[in-house]
Amino acid sequence: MEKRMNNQKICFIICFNDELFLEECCFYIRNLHIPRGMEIDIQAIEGASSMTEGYQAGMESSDARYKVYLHQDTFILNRYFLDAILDIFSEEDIGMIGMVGSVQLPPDAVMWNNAMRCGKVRRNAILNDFVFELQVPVEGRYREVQAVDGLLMATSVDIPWRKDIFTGWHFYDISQSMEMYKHGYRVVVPKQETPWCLHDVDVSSGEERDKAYGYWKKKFLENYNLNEIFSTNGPRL
Amino acid sequence: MMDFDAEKMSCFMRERRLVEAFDYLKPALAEHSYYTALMFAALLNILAAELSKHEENCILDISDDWQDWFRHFHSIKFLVRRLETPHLRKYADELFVYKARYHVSDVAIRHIIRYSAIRPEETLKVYEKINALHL
Repeated sequence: MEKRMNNQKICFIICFNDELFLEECCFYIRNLHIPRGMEIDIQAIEGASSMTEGYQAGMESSDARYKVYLHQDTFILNRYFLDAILDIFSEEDIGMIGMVGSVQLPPDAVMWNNAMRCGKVRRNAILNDFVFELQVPVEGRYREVQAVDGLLMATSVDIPWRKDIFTGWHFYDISQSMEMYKHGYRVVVPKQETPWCLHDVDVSSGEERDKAYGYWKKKFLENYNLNEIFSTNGPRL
Repeated sequence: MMDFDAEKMSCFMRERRLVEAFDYLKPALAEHSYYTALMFAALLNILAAELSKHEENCILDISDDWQDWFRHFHSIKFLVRRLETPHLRKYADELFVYKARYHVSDVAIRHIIRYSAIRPEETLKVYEKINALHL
């Protein structure tokens, strides 16, 4: 039986392994302005074996129509964040919103490998805390993108996460962006005067992490054909 | 890995030339070994605190429990973030409590923010480095 969705509810879903960060992340959420008639819920998932597994579990256990999947180290700075995303979601064919995205992914699907990115995020990088505005300007209320970064992904529709393919911590975001398009939805990045989020990220790479990233990139390319997906869908360039 | 001149570093710290000390560390931060660089940065904070413990304007007090120290490290960072977020400023008063309790200077806070990616699991490595330098 199809689950009845609550259109007046927004659920935040966070996979976490650090209670300090979780607590601070939730602090920012609890201080958001809640649009009239809406309610919020927070699902914190500990011990997930992968991001897709955690997010899928969170998605299935909530009847909220709107869901915000975010990292434990993502803090929502824009007090009117919920008002803003609901406004964008009033366009029914928009399925997902991210803070940073790629208007055109390069052939290797790594959005950091070309200059076709848009959005804003405040980062706590190793040397500086800086506002990170990417090269492609966002005009209008939002810009359509092929994929968004997983630091924050807001959805207006439940699309299954590909935990059958992505059993790690990389490329779940690019994959989900593809799944949105395959199901007929658009993915966008909003226009942000100042960054809506701070991502307190550890920018270390390290050999092990690079290896893992390379493995999941290969998996992604084996399972998704960008040319095929975007031959009729996706942003116009 | 960069050559870490312990004598040069301790000279900077004794003379309280912390900005120069951090500038000296900067090249290390560009290296592949990110955690090595950060360990040195954290080491600097800790050593500076050790040296200045008995001084009037000591930088940062140290508790015996390293994990607890790093918990406060993150709390201080979080409070500074709230201070920077207009609608959350009123929730940052506790920062001033920490500043008073731990004698945290504004310089130290800025460096704490800058090098705050140290995780508690790195504390043991930092402790070993302190011992190795015999300071």
